[in-house]
Amino acid sequence: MSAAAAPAAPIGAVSRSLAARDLRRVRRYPSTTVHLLFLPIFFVVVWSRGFSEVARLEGFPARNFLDWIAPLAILNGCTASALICGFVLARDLEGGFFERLLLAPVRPVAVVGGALLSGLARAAVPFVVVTSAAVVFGADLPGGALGLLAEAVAAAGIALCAVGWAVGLALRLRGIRRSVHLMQTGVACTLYLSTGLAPLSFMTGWMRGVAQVNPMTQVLRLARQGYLGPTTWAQTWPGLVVLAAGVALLTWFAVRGLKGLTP
Amino acid sequence: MTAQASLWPTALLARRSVVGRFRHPSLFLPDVVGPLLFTSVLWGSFARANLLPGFPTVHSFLDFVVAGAVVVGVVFSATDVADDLGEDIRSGFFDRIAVSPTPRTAILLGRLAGAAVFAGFEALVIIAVLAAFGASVRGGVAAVAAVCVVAMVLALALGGLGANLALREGRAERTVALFVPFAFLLVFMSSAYFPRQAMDGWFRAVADWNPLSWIAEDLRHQTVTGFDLRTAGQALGMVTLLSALSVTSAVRAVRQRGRAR
Repeated sequence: MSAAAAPAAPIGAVSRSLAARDLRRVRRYPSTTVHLLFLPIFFVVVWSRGFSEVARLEGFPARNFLDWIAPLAILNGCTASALICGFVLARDLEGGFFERLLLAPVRPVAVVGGALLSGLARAAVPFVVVTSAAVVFGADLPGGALGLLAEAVAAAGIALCAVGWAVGLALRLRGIRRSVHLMQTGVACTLYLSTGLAPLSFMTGWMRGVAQVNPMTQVLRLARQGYLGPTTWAQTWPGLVVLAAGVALLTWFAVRGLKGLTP
Repeated sequence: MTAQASLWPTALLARRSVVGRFRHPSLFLPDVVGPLLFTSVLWGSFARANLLPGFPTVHSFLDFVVAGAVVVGVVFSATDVADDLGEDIRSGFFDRIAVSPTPRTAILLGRLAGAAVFAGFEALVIIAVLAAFGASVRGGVAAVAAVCVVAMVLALALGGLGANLALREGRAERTVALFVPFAFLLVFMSSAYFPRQAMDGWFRAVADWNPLSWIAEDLRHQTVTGFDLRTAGQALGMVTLLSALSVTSAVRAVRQRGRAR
């Protein structure tokens, strides 16, 4: 008897179902999302107070340090939330859910699509909460709605990149304890070895060189422009190019990792 | 069991803690590299901060942040106590020790002693690396020794707090999730990385009352101004008092946990 191969389920439907399954966990265990908000809000409140004097140095481009640090805090919150998709996938791999999933007629890209969708939804929470916290604590948004939109695009793009990175690593290293440090270190290095804390003109030595070539500098420029002044196309397009390339490359990294697991 | 007889299992468990950490580079490297990376990012970003009015007189911002880097290193080491003890409870190692003739407190004190040894090592490496990048340690060998000793006792104080959480929570993930934000608040709402003179309002008030500010400033005195026995003694006294409080509370938590089972 020959078994006919079952037709693959539609990619969109599978991705939506997997994302909904993951997001149900957010509803069931809200503390896992809430504690991720601590660090970005901490940045907004503590760093903007602790390092507030830095904004008084000659040539600092922001009115106050909060305007400078808020976009970093928001991107930090979004990436931290998006990384959870990688942790969840690593747990599914350890728990055997993934093996059962791979036995079903599901295309690998649908699994990655599910993680990307849930990553976007997870990142929306810190985006809204941390942006609100920044405004409450005195951040200025002279860029208005357009500036906020630019920040939202940067946050969504960086969250998708973080999901691709985390899922790709989880699939290759196949264990949460093995992959978690690498996921977080990669994201933290990319975020902080950039103009996250200070403008390029303030940097010295190797840090300046690294921040200059770090693509995150362009993403931060895109996200930050609304806090510093009006939104311009010249400050927007480099960030969009970086995000498009990052999402494409890291989604491919994740899909390739999955192909290594499929028989 | 006599105090002398309980020292041996404590020493063995401390050895287990240290060997376990050094056996896996993925466990000890982030503890050493993390504070160094963070400090170098701050140094690279805020190199001109020492030009601010009211900033203490230092040769460079790097000189200023050496003490902060050591304190952050100790925080990493203390986080490991919380994580490892939580894992000991989760994996059943704690229960196996409890049914053996070993005193229950040995596992706690072993973990804390291991963290103290590691914190001393970490402080030494952090100072050596930052000195290689141009930080000046004016107090010389005596100052480095004072900083290492204070770091070791501070690891007992912060590790004791982490152990308290682990013993009450019983799960490594939850313990770390609670301890890390607390430890970060403690460090960054102090003058570990930025002087109190450059703070104002409620933030300054919190930093003024935060014991980590006093400890970091005393450590900074050793590296920036020069070795001073009085300041070193002051820092050592402060961390000793804090560790006495947190370790006593953790020992009580071990006993309570033992009774509850």
